[in-house]
Amino acid sequence: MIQIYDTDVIFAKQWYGLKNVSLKIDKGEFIFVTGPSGCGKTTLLRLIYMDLFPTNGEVIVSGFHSSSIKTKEIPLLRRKLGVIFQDFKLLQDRDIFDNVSFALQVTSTPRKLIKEKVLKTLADVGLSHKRDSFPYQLSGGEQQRVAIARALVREPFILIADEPTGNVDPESTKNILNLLKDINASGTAVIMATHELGMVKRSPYRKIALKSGEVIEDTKENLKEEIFLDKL
Amino acid sequence: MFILKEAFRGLSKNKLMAFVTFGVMFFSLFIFGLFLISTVNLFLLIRKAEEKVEITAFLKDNLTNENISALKQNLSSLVGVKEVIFISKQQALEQFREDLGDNSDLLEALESNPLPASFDVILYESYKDPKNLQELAVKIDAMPGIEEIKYGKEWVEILDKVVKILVGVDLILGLIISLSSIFVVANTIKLTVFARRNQIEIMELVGATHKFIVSPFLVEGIIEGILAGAVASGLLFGVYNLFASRLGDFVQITRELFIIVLVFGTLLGYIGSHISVKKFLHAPIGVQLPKGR
Repeated sequence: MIQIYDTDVIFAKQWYGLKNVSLKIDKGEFIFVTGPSGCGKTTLLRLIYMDLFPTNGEVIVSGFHSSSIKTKEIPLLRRKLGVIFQDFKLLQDRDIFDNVSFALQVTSTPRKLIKEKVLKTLADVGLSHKRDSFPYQLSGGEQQRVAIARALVREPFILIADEPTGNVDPESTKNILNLLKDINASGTAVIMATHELGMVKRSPYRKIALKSGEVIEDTKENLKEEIFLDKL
Repeated sequence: MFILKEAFRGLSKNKLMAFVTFGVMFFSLFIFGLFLISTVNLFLLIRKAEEKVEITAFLKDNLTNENISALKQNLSSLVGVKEVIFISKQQALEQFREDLGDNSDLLEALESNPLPASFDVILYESYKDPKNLQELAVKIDAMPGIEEIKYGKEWVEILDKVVKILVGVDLILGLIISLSSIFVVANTIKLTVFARRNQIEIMELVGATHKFIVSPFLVEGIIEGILAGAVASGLLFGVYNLFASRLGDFVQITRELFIIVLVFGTLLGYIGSHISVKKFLHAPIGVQLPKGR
């Protein structure tokens, strides 16, 4: 589904965003990408939704190759993915229904289908009752759930979450994690980047640990906290 | 449908910026309109001056009527000649008398008419440049029965130079006004797009095509351009009407001028939006991409 081969991302001379990364991500997986700030988590995710291309190596996502994809084809890839961020990226001047339906409207989905899909997705994330509210009227956790609904409404095969719990309280963090697990249980792969090592080190899911752009662990076992101290 | 809805939403939700863009466009178009009026009237003036350019061929005194009509035939058949008008000796004298006005009594002293008969050779516009005039003059001068020709050689040459300089200056001025209008309008629109860069980013993330992202902004720009063009045209017409009576026939204003201002306004909105929105596509802020996406 996603293959990354011998990939380097070099931002400037001697400044590696990622260094010699090779990964394979299968259908339906749940993966945590973790590591300290600046280790390359976001860079890795951006490679997947092709917001960034590798300097060396190749990234293949759902049949699209980073070396040969045309600018016109990038929207086609994005329609198969869902992406959420720490800062939610909601449109403040639109209500929740419009924020979620926006993802369908911009790809010319028929209006009747839009309503049906948006209402179902809002129900899935538990926000049906807030559909007429505006983002500023919601808590951080609720806003993130709106962002998740917007990502899910297109029925993506993978949900990419870049520090989705970075801006929310511990209770909401738990809710969002549970929601992501439910989404994964229904068959959607989830890749979640987080720098909160404590949250992921004992989870049963696959964990990819990055440090200075390099993969230092890729395991389903418990992560040891020392790994970020040892290898420099 | 979505594109139109988004365009109107953009206008109504960002009223202040929409108004600023409209104001900048209106001002640019008003100046552009003033420039157009000046250009139209400059060309009108040039045409009026060029209308006066003609060749006068004076005839020898001893020509018969047959000679004269043969000569007229020959002159008419020359390339570039639009019309040939015969002025007889008598007509020339009357004209001269008229020109003298109160001093026409002086002519009474003459025993015979000293003025020669002549042909006024009127040319097509495109043949009124110094080179063609010179060539025609040489040909006419060589015809039998022609005593002398006159076409204001020096004056024509000066007029030609002045026209060339004026047209050149006008074109450069037009180019400067057009480009600076586009530059100013594009930069103003850029501010409105900047305020909505989130929307563009989200559209890109959820897989909207570039065409789909850009279209609402283009429609917005075009709407503002048409409105600004209409108001600028209206004001130009108002200002013209206000001064028309004082300016007389000298300054002319045409319906085409309004259409040009409107079309330029539409283009201004379209090009300005296009340049601005493109800048916000595939350009994550603050990150140098290793390779464009």
